[in-house]
Amino acid sequence: MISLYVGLILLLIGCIGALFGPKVDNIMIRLLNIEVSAVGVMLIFLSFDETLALMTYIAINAPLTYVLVRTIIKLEGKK
Amino acid sequence: MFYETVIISFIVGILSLFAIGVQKNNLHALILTDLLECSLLCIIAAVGTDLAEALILPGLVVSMAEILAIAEVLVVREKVRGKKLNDFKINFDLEILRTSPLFISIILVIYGAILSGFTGGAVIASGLLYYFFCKRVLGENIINRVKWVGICGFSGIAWSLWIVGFLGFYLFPKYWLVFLLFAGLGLVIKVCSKLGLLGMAE
Repeated sequence: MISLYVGLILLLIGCIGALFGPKVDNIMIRLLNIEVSAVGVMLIFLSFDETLALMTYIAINAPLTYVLVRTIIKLEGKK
Repeated sequence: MFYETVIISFIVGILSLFAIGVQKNNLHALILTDLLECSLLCIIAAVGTDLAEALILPGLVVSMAEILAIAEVLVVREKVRGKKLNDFKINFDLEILRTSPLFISIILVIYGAILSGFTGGAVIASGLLYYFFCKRVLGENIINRVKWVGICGFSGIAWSLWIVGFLGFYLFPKYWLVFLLFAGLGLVIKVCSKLGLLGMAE
């Protein structure tokens, strides 16, 4: 039960941090804030006993971050 | 349990939709789409049944595919406009990049083969990606050694194996276990080879 509430709090804090947090004009900081929400989603999956969804989300999240970081570096790397 | 999750997911979803609407920069909007995806997955997960769990997997696939496509569209659009893009070349020398990739990728590949299905494919693909990236960061040229078209064709054959397994459920319901293994094997090979191709992206 406690993992559900920790997950919900992390989801909300990550969302607020990504939207109104300090220095979110820098896009890497916004991406790192969203990763906090992603950890919250994983904890919510864990508390609802959804093993398959949890495993797939963890495995998908790694290439997804790679794709986003690649786009960021290509479009606004050296500024 | 259900109500708290749904309420907080709706708050997060509405806030992120509002932020996407206000946002001027396309790249920021793309990254906020990732946040919206988190809230949508939580709403489905809150139902907590097996069917909901099965519905999360296509949701993940679709969201990943659309983020990939939009990211590529943004890059290509800047290229067409004639702007010079930054090179995606990182060079640094760390001990762990030389020693760890073989071990970690072998463990991930074995674990993914045990899991099978879409999940196993994604686990294998993350192992392959780790291997490719470590090799590329160290400056070894791995792209010429692996044939891009060959992997695409291999993945297509695996996909047809999945279709055969799926048809077998209806045509020969007596041998469902054999066709279940067919479908799982086809899907694992298809997903790992397709996602692994990301490691060769320029």
